[in-house]
Amino acid sequence: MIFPWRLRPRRPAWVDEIESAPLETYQKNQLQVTLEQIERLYPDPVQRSKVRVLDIGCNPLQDRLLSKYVGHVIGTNLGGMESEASDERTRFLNSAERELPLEEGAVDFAFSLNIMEHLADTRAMIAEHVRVVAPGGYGFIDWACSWGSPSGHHIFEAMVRYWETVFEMPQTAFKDGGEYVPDWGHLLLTREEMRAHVLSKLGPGTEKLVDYIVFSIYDRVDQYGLSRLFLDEVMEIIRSFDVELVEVKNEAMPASKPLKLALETIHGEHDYETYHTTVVFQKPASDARDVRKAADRMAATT
Amino acid sequence: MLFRRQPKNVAPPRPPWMDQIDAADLYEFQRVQLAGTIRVLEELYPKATDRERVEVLDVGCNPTQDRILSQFVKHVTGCNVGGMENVPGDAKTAFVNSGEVELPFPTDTFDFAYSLSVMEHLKDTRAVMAEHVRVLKPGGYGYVEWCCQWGCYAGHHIFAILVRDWEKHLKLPRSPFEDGGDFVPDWGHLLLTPDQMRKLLCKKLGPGFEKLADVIVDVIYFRTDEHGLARLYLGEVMEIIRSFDVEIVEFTRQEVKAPKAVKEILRAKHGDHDYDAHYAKVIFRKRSGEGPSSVGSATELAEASG
Repeated sequence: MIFPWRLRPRRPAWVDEIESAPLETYQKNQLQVTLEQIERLYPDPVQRSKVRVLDIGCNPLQDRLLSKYVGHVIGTNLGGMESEASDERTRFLNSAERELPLEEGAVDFAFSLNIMEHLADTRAMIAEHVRVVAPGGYGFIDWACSWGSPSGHHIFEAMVRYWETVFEMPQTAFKDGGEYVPDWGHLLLTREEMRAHVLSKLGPGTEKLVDYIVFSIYDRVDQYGLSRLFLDEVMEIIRSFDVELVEVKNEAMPASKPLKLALETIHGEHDYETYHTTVVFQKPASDARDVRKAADRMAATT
Repeated sequence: MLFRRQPKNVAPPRPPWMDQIDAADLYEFQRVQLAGTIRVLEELYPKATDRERVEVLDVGCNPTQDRILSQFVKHVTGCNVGGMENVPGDAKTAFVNSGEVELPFPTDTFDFAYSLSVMEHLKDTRAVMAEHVRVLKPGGYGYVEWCCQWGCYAGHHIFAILVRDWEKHLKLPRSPFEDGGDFVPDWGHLLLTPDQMRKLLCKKLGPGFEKLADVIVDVIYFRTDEHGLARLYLGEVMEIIRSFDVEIVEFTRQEVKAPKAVKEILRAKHGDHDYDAHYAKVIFRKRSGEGPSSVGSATELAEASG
């Protein structure tokens, strides 16, 4: 006799803990996905308890939760990590924009969540990501809103609410959903058209905020700015390194035919529909790499 | 009660003039327009004896349509911007050339003046409407029907039957152009600049059709003669019609709804306009001159339901 509830997937130990953590919903989801990924790659609990993990562009709270289920976690960020308390399972380090403060092959599993769409130099960052992973180790990259996607402009209600407090202005009517910053608008509207449209929606007195929104979409390039690379360009960069892609998962939102034709005419053939991407890559074990290098050398000489 | 059979949606009986229209040498859309016009006449003048006293003007005419229509009324005058000098009239029809704006008729001449698929091509919509209203007798009816207004998906007004003509004119082989939004995207004229549109067309049509792409881009964005486009949104046209001393008897619009994302982009680029209506039909009545010039409430109702 099979009891149907036996067939239900096992509820992982961390679910309740993540649920009760003071994190945004998307951060909870990401943490869960990361833990599931680690569990899949290291199914043996003994092995899992020794895995060295790196979080590139970290959230210390996420990392402290994560550290209970793996060996230890290193979190790096561009700044502000000096005030984060480290313990025997976690360590927080400041990093430079194009450099990670770690030795080559220092970790077994390096992940970054929602970082890819903000990089000023994606190629340099991936190079560092690959460098710090030990041979045979894994990289995990998860991000949403690539430049080509409907929300590639990356302007969200939560950010606008924050900017309103910074500018000390009353709350505007801004809402997510494409009414204020239209879907694909960053690819189809000029700066001037975008400015005029958002200003007309938010009303007079919001010029400062609107200018900041336009600047964030089109011009900003620091860690809060955008990399403005289409998904295929990012994937090409990842593929250009000596790694094996274990998993690539895309979630897409279909674009209507006229918009797709207009986008392709203006910006060329790109992926305009994928808004969420997950990539898992494995750095080849050193002996495999040696064989490959030798083969390359042989091909070069003959 | 629950099980009582509901009357089925029965098609209205086929009018006797339908066979004649079907046999005429007309495009399908012209047949539909002609049948629509005769139906409007029958609605406005239900008695055949009344219809036989009606003086009709066709602004921007098709002689074949007018000859068929003339059997139901007293007389039809067809006018066009050119090419009418060789079209023979008869006892019930006459064909004349008109100016681009001026209609060569005295004020208060016709009981019923109509134009089919002309509104979207006018260089000066206000001036032509003024003429349209002027030549009507007080109490006479104007009927304008057109499709593909600038704001709608096909506002670019590029269709395969036109492209086939241009290919012949340019001595080109048949291009792969087809209707359906693959070549000129729906709402593409509002989303793309002329250069971008040309780039898209050159890519889609393939090498050798650059001249055809030039003609298409010219018609969409620049041409302003009778083969060009008015490039007015439906709201602007309706405002022009309403600005005259007329009572709107009927205003019907049909929609092809823009996808939400397209609509938001169009609003951001061009403002809040009607991007859905691709077909409009307006019947108006010239006021007798006296009386208050308020628009009847029945009109607004028809509009809301349309």
